Amino acid sequence: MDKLSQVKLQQVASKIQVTIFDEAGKILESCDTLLKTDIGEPIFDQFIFLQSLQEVFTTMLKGERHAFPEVEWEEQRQGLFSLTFEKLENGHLQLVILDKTSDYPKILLNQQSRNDSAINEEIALLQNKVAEMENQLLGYQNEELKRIQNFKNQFFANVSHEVRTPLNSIAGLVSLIENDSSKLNNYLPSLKATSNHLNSIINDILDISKIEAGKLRFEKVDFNLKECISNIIAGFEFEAERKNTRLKLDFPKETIVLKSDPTRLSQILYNLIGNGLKFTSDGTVTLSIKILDQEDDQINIHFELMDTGIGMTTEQISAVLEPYSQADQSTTRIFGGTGLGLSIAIKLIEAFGGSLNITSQPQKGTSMSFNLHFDLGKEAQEKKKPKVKQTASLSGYKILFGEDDLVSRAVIAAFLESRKAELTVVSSGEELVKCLTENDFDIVISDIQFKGISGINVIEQRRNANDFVPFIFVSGSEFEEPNPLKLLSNWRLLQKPVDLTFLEENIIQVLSLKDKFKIDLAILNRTVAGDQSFLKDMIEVVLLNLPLELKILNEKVAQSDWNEVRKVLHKIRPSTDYLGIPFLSQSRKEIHESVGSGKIDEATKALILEFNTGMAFALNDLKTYT
Amino acid sequence: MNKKVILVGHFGVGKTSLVQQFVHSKFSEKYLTTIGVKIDKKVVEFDGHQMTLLIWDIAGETEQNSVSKSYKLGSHGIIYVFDVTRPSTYENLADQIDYLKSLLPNAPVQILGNKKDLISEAELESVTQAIGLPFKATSAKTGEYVEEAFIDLSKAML
Repeated sequence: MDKLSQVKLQQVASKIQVTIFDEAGKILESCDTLLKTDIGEPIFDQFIFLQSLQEVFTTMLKGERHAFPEVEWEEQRQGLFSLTFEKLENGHLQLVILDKTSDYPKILLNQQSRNDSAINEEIALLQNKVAEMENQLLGYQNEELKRIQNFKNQFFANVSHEVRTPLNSIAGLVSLIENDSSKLNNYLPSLKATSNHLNSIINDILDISKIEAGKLRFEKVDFNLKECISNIIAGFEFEAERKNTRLKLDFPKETIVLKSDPTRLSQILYNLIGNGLKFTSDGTVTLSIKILDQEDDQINIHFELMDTGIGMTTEQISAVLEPYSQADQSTTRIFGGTGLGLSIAIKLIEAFGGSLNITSQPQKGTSMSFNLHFDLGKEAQEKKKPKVKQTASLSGYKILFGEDDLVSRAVIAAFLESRKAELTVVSSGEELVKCLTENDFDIVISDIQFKGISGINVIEQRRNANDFVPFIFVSGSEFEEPNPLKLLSNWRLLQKPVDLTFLEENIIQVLSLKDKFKIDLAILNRTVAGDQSFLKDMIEVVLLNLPLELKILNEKVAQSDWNEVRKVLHKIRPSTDYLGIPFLSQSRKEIHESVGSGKIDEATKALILEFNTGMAFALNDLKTYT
Repeated sequence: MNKKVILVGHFGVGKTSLVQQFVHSKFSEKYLTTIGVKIDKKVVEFDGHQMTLLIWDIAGETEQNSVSKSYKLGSHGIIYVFDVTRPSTYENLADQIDYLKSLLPNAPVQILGNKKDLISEAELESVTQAIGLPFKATSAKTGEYVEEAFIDLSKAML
């Protein structure tokens, strides 16, 4: 062997180990260049790697060659080895271990860069996918925007048409009256019906905006369902007769008293019955009510309205379920309507926790049904209805009325005078302040927006002066309750155009509270043990402190700072109890408990409002004893 | 009782980290790719049985048929690992499992979706729906379901 070959062999030999073992796995020979082995012992006991190959030993005996090109070795020494098993001609087996440790950094680098490039490829793919999806989303958004724009155009076209029609009628009727005032009484019913119709369209639009803004509030009051529905049906009898259509009500024999919002439920049924009747002539419209199940204080009710009207195709059903649309555009031309009624009904049903199901067949009729879950209520012992039909219903009451619009002022003032109120009429906020400073009134009816001092400023000034006279505001714009009002007590807000009967009902309701929240001086007398001088001091202390605490209470309620609300309610307990009005003591306790337990729902907020109103009346009454 | 278990799947899915967590209760954020195969051993005990697991942590490959068959020889159990944050590591999962089953018909397969700690429950739910095969979500980092995965497979290999 020449020198070159010798060097070459030496270099390679240091990197190779050869181990020979027999058919039983016993090591016969091994150069142990890399790993030390025990000659005469089974090869499979030597290393973990070899242990796990014991089961494939039989395949080696059959002559199969097994190569493991890269093994990260950690026993005896760390390194990167290549291992090959091969059967020799003499029947023995040979394991060749090649040390590739010196190549490890290079292999690692190659492997890492291969992985990196694959990862980069994955990232690029994902980025492309995201960009693609973003483009797709943009496309959908554009389509949706176009759809909304088209819908808005159509919606406003319908609404404008619907509003313009009664407005034209009113203008026409007014012209006729101007030409011949002797026929005023002949035209009045039409004028009233047309303005009512216009009012209902505007109310629908306002309701929709409230629903869309999520600002619709639900009451929870006890009411008799059959009475509620019978009133609705009665309202449609004239229309049904005009269309020669029978209006039927299938109602269970049981009396059903619910604790829910009768106004919103009526609104649903009113819209559905109105729709059924609109599309039915010479037929039948049936409202069927069924109790699905009733347990403890809960009830599940199925409502179904069936008509034998013109019906709808499947496509038309899908179209009417689209917000603010009708079965097709010709519906608006033939039957009128903005398409708002059904949308309102659908949204309200959803707000009640149900969903509207529509089935229909063209020329055969339509069925609209839904199931709603209610709390059961208690039948009222005696229903106190406000006396609204008496012409002298406001007789003896001192009413201050402020309005800067000439026509509204004349109409409302004439109405209040017709109800025999002792009326003072002013046309600005400044005059309201002046009147309230100089005189006492039972109630103030006022516009909310004046050019100078606004209605809100007026009530703020009076409350700061410890005057809790009730205010009924009327406003021409659709508003949320203006924030400054939330901090004040004893006011109501009505919307223009105000229905005069509704205004009268509200005035009577407010005035009736004056008696309900009259203080019981006997309690205070007992507290001071008949000492009149002490009583006077006591009243002055209550009048000084309670309004301030109520102001803080309202502020904390507006901020939803319930911890502070609870503290104020605790603090005012003695003063509240001294007034001797059971309702106020009880409601203070209930609110305190609700706030303490963290259960603040709409009912709690309504009770806080009622408590506030009661306290305002009580404080006004207390002032009369100073 | 010795049982050979192979860990396979794409590169970078955390196979070595799972073994490190299981055998040595260790986790490192550092990524060092495995070359060829790395063998570890752990004795497990369950239901009165004792079993020595010879764990073959095989270097990651996109396709299982490009991994040398000799590494898989004589395996008693298979752990297929994918990365729940990388769809490319589970897009062809069903094919890979089929291939492994054809190669080792008697070896039970445990599929693990690793790096669970990096995604939300909702994201995990969408991965579950996308895969359509039963798997267990693991985290080599937190150790979640790691030990259980090996024990479950050991039970299946009995």
